Amino acid sequence: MKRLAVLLLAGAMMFGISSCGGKSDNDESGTEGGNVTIEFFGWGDPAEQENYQTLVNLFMEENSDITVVYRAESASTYMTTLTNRANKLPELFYMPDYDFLQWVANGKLKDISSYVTEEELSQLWPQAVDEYYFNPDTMTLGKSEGAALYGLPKDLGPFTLVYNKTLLDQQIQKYNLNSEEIYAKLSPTDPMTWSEFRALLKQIDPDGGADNIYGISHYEIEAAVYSNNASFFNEDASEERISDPRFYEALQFIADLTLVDNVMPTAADQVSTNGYQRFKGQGCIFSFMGPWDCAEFWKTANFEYDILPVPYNGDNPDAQSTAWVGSMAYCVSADANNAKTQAALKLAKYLCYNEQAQRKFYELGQQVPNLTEMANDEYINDTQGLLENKNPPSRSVWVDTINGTSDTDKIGGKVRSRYYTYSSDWFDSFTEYLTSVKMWDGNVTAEKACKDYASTFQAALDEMRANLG
Amino acid sequence: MIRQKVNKLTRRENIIAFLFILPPIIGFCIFTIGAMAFSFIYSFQKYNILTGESTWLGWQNYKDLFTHILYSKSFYTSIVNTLVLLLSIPLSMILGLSLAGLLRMGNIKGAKVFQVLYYLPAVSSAVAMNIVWRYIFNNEFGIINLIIGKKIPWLSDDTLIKVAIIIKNSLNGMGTAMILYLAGMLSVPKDYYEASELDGAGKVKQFFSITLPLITPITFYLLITGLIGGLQSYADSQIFGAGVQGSQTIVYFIWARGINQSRYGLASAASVLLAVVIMIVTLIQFKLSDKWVYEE
Repeated sequence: MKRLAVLLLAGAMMFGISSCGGKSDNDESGTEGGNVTIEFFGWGDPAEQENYQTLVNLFMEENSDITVVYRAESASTYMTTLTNRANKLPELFYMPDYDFLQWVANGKLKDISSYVTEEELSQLWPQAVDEYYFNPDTMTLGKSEGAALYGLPKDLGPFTLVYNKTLLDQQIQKYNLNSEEIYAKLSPTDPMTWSEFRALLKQIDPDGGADNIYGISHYEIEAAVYSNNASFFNEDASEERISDPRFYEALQFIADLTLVDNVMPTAADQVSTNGYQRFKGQGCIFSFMGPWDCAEFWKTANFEYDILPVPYNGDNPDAQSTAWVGSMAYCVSADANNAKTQAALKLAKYLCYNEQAQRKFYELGQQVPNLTEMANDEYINDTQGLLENKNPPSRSVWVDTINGTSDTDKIGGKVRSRYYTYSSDWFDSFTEYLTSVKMWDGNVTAEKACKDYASTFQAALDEMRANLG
Repeated sequence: MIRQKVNKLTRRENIIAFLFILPPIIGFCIFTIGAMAFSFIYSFQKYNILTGESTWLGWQNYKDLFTHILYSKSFYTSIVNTLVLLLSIPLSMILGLSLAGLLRMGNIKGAKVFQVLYYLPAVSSAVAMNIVWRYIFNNEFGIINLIIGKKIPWLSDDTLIKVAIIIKNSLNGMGTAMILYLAGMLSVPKDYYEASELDGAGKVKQFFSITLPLITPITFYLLITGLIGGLQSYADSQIFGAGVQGSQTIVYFIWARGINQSRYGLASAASVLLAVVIMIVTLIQFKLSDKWVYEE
């Protein structure tokens, strides 16, 4: 018995000692005879996964010394799986912009500054690259003195207004409206003001959704807030800005689309059918879409559609049309050894800025090209003839939204607010609060709701900042 | 010599029997006892899953559940929601008992078909059932609203969603209750009914004086399993309620804080409290069972 106990103890100690050995950059496990095997983990629906597998196969054909095991799952479970694998991460994986800060601050992402050149990065949207810089000493995001690069941008996805052209034509006919006059307002280069947009919605949906066709499915909070030159918090996310009049004015604009104009489904109806489902089911004329929706729309939408810049508050001299622009990065595990890091980055670079891969991505309706030159000409003008007769015809709106980063641009885009914070709890709590006080149902005004919640919102920001030390 | 051989055989049999039950015991130790132990430890810590580091917080997580400006309100809401949703347990039992009574006493044609139909929800996937019910209660296009002719916000109103869940769970659960009650009723000796008939008892009197008391073990079983399951309800909030506040249960709170927001300490504290409550409720039920559950 005693002997057995000693043996067990010895075994446990051996296991403990062997487990203590961390990985170093020189650790070459997973590499055999010059061949490297890496795991690439991502998300997407089956069609997107198929597209990625095709590109990964092409990459392996060109790089016979690298074997890539591509795995993916649905976007809704992706981060849970990745978090549970935090101890043994795949070599290359997606990192959404709103989770980047938490992961980089906890040292889970590899500093890849020395693996990429400025020349390589100069082909890409500069704001996309800058998003994935981080300074671990000051715990600050963005390109600055002392900051390093921790990811290569997968894409930039502007979430802009979309309208169902087929349904709009039907409504024009049904209500005897002046088609030319309506279409003159739908300019891809000249965004509508909020009041113009509201007037248009009332024109095309005069019965307030009684025929189960609404003017608009829902309204993106950030599109309204940004397009009123407001924000949730200050630059370093340390002070709330929801009690700012410009902020609650934006929320009230959204609420009034239902409460005053009757052109948007009630909060209750939005719960039972979300905006995406309603737009696809032709239950509304306007909604919101990003470039990644194209793949699905091309397959299933049996109507014509086009995109527009988001409306802005014409009464606010500082406001301009500003949509939120989502992004994701290809990140390498901080634990990956040198050979695997190099292989993973080779794949990341291929997916991020290889001309052939980028062309394939936009052809498959996956994204706006990361390569600025390709996006500004080939993609917009379809010089390769790959997007012939494919919606939306005004793809330039997405490119303009990405390009518009200065105050003088008529159309612009901003990164999602959740990017700047350690976690997204504040956003979830805030939207939950607005629902619980029935602000969208008109029980309280946006002003009262925001002012009442300001101190709780500040507490949420303080707590998140405490996580950064 | 023979005795020694018998002992050896018995021991061998015991070992074989033990080996048969070993896999579930190992599974129970790792996935239940182990998980509970870890949960208990984490409930006193702030655990960072990304780094694997943890900080000892003492009772802070427990205090936060009831006082923190960001989580306490949703924790209280989840407790109230969970308790209200438990109403579906007695309702499903009453419905199941009534159906069993009708099938047993009334001479209904096609009784077997009804049994299968009522029991069908019990053998169907909870996810699929919740999705189907979501369509039935849909605010805009649901069958119920179409029949009523009004747009009742079943899926978004904090009170109505609880009513919808209670209706759904009562109807889903009545099949199981019916089958068990029916089995219980069939096991009641016929002599009792014959004797009572001689004494002039009618069907109703027989039901309340003979059937009901003799099937109390079934009632007890349904109550115990129903309460434990009800306190652990999750699919109602996640799939049927799609996270609407009025549908958020304690387990949904644990999922939202733990898995969704990586607040493992806080979620563990809520889990420990829930486990303690379930244990206390079950113990009380067992204690009280002496007074009302029939034993032969």
